[in-house]
Amino acid sequence: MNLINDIPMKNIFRKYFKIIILVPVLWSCDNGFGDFNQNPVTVSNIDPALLFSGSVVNAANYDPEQLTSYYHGFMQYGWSDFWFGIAYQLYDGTSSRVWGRYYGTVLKNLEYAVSELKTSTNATNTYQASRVWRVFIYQKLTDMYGDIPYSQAAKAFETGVFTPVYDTQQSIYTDLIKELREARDAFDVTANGVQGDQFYGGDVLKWKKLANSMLLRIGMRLSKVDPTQASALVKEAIAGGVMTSSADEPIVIYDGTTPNGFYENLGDQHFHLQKTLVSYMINSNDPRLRIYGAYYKTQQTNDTIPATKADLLAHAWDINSKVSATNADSVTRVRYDLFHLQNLPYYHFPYSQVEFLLAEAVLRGYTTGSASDHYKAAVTSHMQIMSSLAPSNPISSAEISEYLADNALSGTEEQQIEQVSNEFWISGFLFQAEEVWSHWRRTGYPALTPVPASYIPVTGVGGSNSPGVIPRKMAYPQSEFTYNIANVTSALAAYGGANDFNPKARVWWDKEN
Amino acid sequence: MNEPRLNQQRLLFLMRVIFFHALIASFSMVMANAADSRGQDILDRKVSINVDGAEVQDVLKLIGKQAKVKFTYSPQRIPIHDKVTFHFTDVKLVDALNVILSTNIDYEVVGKEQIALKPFEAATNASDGTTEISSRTVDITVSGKITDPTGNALPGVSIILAGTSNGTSSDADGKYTINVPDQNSVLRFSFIGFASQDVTVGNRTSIDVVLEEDVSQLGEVVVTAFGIEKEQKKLGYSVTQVKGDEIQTTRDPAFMNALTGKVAGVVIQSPNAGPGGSTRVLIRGNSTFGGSRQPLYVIDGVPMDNTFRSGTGDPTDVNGGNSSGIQTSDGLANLNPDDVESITVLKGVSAGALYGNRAQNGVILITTKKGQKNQGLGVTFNSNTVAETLVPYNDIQYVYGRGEGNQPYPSVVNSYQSGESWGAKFGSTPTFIDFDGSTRAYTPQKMKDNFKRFFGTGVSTTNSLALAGGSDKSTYRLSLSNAYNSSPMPNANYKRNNISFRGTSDIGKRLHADYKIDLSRTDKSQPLVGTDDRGSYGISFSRMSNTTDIRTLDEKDANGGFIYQYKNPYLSKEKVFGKDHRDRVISAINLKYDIADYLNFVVKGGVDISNANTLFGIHPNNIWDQQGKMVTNTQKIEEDNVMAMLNFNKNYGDFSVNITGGTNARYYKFSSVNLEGNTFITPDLIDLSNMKTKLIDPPGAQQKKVNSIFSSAQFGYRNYLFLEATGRQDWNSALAKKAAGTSQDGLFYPSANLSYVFTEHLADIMPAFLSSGKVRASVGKVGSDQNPHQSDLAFSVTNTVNGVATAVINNASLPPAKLKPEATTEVEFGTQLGFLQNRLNVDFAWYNKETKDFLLAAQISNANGYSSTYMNAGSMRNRGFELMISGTPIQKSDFSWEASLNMAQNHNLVLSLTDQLKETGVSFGNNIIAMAGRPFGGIYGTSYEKNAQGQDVYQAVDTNADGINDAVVRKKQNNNVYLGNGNPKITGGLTNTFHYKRVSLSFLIDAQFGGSIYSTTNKWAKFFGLTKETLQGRDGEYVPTGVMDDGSQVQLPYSPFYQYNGGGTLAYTADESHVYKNDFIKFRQVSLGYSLPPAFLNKTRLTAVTFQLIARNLFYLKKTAPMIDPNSSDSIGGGYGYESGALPASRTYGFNLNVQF
Repeated sequence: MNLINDIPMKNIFRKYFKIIILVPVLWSCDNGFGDFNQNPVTVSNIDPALLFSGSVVNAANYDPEQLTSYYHGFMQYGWSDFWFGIAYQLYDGTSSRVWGRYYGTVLKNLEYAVSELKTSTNATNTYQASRVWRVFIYQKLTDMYGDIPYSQAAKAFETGVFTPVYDTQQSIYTDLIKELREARDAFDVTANGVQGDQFYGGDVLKWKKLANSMLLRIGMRLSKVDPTQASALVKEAIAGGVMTSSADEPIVIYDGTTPNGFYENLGDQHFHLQKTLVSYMINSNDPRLRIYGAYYKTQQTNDTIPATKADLLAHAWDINSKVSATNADSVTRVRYDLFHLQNLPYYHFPYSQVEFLLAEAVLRGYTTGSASDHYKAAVTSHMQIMSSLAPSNPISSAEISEYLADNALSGTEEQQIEQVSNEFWISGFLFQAEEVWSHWRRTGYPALTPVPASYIPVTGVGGSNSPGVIPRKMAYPQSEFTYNIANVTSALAAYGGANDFNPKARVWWDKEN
Repeated sequence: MNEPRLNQQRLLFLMRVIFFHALIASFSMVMANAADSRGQDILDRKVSINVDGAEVQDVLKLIGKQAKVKFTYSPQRIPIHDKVTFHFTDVKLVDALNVILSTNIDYEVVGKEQIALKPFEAATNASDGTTEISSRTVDITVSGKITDPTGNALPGVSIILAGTSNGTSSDADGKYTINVPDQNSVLRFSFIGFASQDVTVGNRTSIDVVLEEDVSQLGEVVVTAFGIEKEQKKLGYSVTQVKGDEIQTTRDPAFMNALTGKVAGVVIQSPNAGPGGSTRVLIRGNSTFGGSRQPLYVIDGVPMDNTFRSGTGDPTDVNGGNSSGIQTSDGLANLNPDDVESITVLKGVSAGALYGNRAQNGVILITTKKGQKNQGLGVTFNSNTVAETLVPYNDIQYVYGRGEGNQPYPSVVNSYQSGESWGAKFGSTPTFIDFDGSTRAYTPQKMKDNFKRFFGTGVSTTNSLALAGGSDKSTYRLSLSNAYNSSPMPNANYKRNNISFRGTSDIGKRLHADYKIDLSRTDKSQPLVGTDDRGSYGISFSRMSNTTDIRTLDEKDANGGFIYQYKNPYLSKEKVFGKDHRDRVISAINLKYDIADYLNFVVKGGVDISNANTLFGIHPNNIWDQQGKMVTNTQKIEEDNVMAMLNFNKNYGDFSVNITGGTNARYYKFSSVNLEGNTFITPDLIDLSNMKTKLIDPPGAQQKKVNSIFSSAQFGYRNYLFLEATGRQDWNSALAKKAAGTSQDGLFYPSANLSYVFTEHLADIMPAFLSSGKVRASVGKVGSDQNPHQSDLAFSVTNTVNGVATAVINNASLPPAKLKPEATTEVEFGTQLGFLQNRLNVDFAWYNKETKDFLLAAQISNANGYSSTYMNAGSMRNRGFELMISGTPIQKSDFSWEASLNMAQNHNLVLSLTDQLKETGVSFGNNIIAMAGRPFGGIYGTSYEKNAQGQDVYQAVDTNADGINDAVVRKKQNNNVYLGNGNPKITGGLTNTFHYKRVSLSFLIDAQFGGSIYSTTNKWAKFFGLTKETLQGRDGEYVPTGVMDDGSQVQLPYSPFYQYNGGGTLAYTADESHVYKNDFIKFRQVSLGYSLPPAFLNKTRLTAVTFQLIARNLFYLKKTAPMIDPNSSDSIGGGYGYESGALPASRTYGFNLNVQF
């Protein structure tokens, strides 16, 4: 018997394989697979304005990480055994987290939103606002790390480039300025308001003010590296219209369901106040001291003791006298009853800061006007904001007037700049330490005595990575040396070739005098 | 919520398609076959003749009438007037004709009702020009009965006239009838599972045959893909079957552990993770980078979910919030080992090719028990009790005690340094001041004593009761099982209850139903493992000084807080709770319809649903999570499969044809909800409502659908040559993209295999010692089962803040522009040989397996916005061999010795990676990285410097901060080099079983060679000066031979303290010194059994009683890694080979009682 010649068998196969062919046709008619492959707990389409809104909230949630871990230490506001900034230690955990959160969450969503909004009709103001916000985030990142991925960053979904190049900070600033100008000029009061607006309820004009205020800040940032451009940008910003009251401030108002980032952050950290801050505030008779700190009996967050200023000072953290530390050494701590609240607002860019910048701009001759008036407006606004956080014992206007009288601007222009800067430092407590660090790098004020090299930190193993010298640039995250090594290595060439706190690790606008 | 409804519709659609398919296919095959056999049909018609001296033409008329046929012939050429005498009753027409007609007359069926008679034509022989008259031989009818050795009738035995295609098969009573041409004819009787027999007819017409069971491996019937049973000789690929009793004796809750060392090429590793932990089963090496590395488990033809959720790198981790400390079980832990009839391992790609995209890591088929037909109620009771103890870490030094700088601490130290054993020599000082201020004797506290003080003896008891029986139409089996394991670890235990039922019914003659349901409930309490600082048992012992009586760590202060705060195991023992509760239903129904004896249609449906609840938390305490926390997780996993297939089996003379075609639809869904609470209001009440703050994590979910069709066709020739080809087409939703025309969800997986039983073919020339032999070859392609929801962007709406809604992109991984599934192809050659009447059997396989385009969630710079992306990242090869030798060296009437040796070698090599990944490799966490040109699972890290001459390079250190270098240590380099392979190269096992009368003794030794392990347990034990490795140079007088980094000879003494501890900085410790060769030979298990004699049982109602003493994990014959168990690992996935807090190995001993009545 020969199978091949067996006609009936051949027929079987012919018929059978027809069916085999038929079923695939039926199966492959299943067009629902693409939809089925959507995760059932997600949505496939979203209004990009919600992503924009999310990126604003997330930035506020994430800021406290670097603020507490580094800048409250650098700027000697406080001390905690959790903080690496106290003894100027390199800690990749913070560096990686900050990098990952801003690129990996904030910018991932924001870049996608921007690209979607660009082509969407009826959303021009939302598009412009999201561009402004993107400038805000990138400035934050470049001020921390210096040269960073910018032109190719967070665009892998569109471009397919997995190893983004590092752009120079100078070129980034050039583009940030261009973006701010374009967005500012394209805001259209006749079109729909800004959607997903966490700050202003969609008010286009306030976004315009924010854009100009950011231009002012960028301008002042260039005072050391490029005073000419600084002056021009300041003039341009003022002409365009900057914030004029605290009603113009971009604030994230937390309602308690999503807690403020400090809620988590302060929850497990003992935020002791440093003597540098407390003694300065006592000397200037600053009423804000009673809002900033209190005298705690134990480490419990509600266990306060009535205290005089002298008590607060006596029990503040003295970094110079304590060469080794334990947690129980000090009991003057940040007021947990005010700042460890789920609904504490987050101040992305206080109005007071605009006034401080204007005061300095007048003193530097970038613009005209009364430095003193700007200074007074700045301090007044900040005291009022702090006062609003402490309804049980607010700062009265008489106290504000008295304070301004006692601490009026005087002396040479440079002395006045230092005075403005010191007030800027006091007003940067908790929310703006990052900006104060930038101000310090640019102006040298406040004049801080670095933590002595002999200081032995509690956290981690090993000593200081910058003994006796306050660092001026954050180290890149280690992950970049794994996944983007060529680009990050070439970027390091500008910073002494090492990913640490070496003397050459300074950002572009912080040029050595 | 349209989704469930949609699914229902899809299911209905599916069912329609299946039946449509099946109906057409079966109809067409039935018709085709009917056409084929029509001619034969006429000749099979029955006739009865009772004539004496009648003429042939009359007889033809008579039988023509009976058989409704008409004979046509030319009267001149046919001797129709011959007188004949016949007495036939109910014989086939063909037989009648053969007798009636003389041998030179031929007959031919013409059309439907005609038979033409004519003389044979004379044929001219072309070569010599002679003329031959062919003749039709007169047949002899032979009949008889076929039985097995015990006398049971064997139906369905194939009887073939050797050298022809003529044949028949035995009926239900084992009876057969066949016509043979002459007395020299040889009949070949063959039946699956029995040795074939050739019988020469001679002058007999009645031949009864007793078929012997085939003892050769080739005759063994094994379960293959989709539950199709085949003889080994037909398989062109390697299949190993393990009988259920092999796993029932030792009864590990993770029962795959029982296969350890038994199957060549299957590497089983089970890091101790507390009771009911997970098992790593690796078949023929790592075949994939991403996704699951575990084989596919198929129970009674239905795939089951074996998702393992651990603290290591699993995106759907269910462990205690940010904890990595608790491990949960894999899916297999829900099964009752007593229900298992056999386990079949389909190692190769070709063997599993019918499972398509799930077969990449091999397939393990589990067949459960069922009742037997025609048997009364049989009851089997099995009770198994074992005691479990933990094996103390070894290689601990008891020469120097607690302290630093070769002296005890002068004052109270209560920090990590309390664990240091860098102190004085024992005997040099009588006392020391302990962490709590007490003065204690400066004497060693042995590891084994501390183990006894802290760990207890666990007891595991498993009781199973099975009731089984059957009538001639149906069978049933009900089994109940209860397992309780009180672990030697505090706070750890494991409970499992199973109820399972399996029944079969014949509904009418053609429809056979088989249904089963297995309900299980497991409850576990688990200890902390890994580096969890909340008192993981795995890290406490390596960081405790050798003068510490562990019980002192339990001391409390006035507030009830622990005085000792550094990695205190009592924190975990008293404050941490981790529970896992899982309910599971596995149910399957299997309907088989016999359309004809050569054709059947099968529909199978399987449902596997499990619900798991885990609870993890820590009560308020003074060390970690001080206010307390708890996390609960609820998970539901469901996997449904519906399958239909048509099987065609028929012999055509020397040819056998087996064709299977079918379709499968798979649906998978996972969902999970996590709730977290922080800060207990009442310290002891474990309830979310008792927590001050509560968090709900966004729910997790996954779903997947795979539609498939498959087909296989096997052709056999004369019982010695078998060729099979298979094909499977999958359509996988996980590969589908939304945009039209972008999906690449259809995948085709072909395979082919060839088996040649040369001892059957060339029986005449085979040497006597070779009893059976087969060579085989196969080639096949399978794919990987990738994670869903990677193809498109998806979004989650997040909390509304300030009255404004927010949302985020949900993907952590960048959606790939193009997703191509992995493809694994394998070529396999093998042979199976039986020597000396199959007393010695050898099975050898060589394979070369390559995975291309492996899919990887490759890490990318998160400056991209995403920290990873799915990409087709490279290729990898596994090449190796497997050898199994089994034999019966001694076989006497009351004594026998059986031995079985297996070994396998696997060489894994990452062949290529994308340009982007070439530099960095692919990290699997910690120090495990895959680099091109190196094996997967390579261990990388820093090394010590050597000079060009290969000498160790040392550097000078200042150990007493006086500014003068006073000691040396080996110089560490800041590099990242290959330090070893986390996976073994060679694995094997040796089983010996002795039977003497009713006593049996069996033991198993297994071994692994060629792997390495990165042991942080050793790293820290060395940091704390605890192990023997730290002894060299303690006395400050050891000056190593080597060179200084400036090239000079070493002059200063070596400082082990600086080398391993570095004054608390670890600054001089290279990873190299923590990577150990991880070879071992383990005396894995021994059992001694006794069965009561029948003479004794006859007086009782019992039918069988067997009692066994058993012990597992007794000792090592060789172990190269100090302290730890060689199977220790943080991960049973790609990160295997790195351990950071290995729990000690456990050792069990106990008994097993099996009673049947």
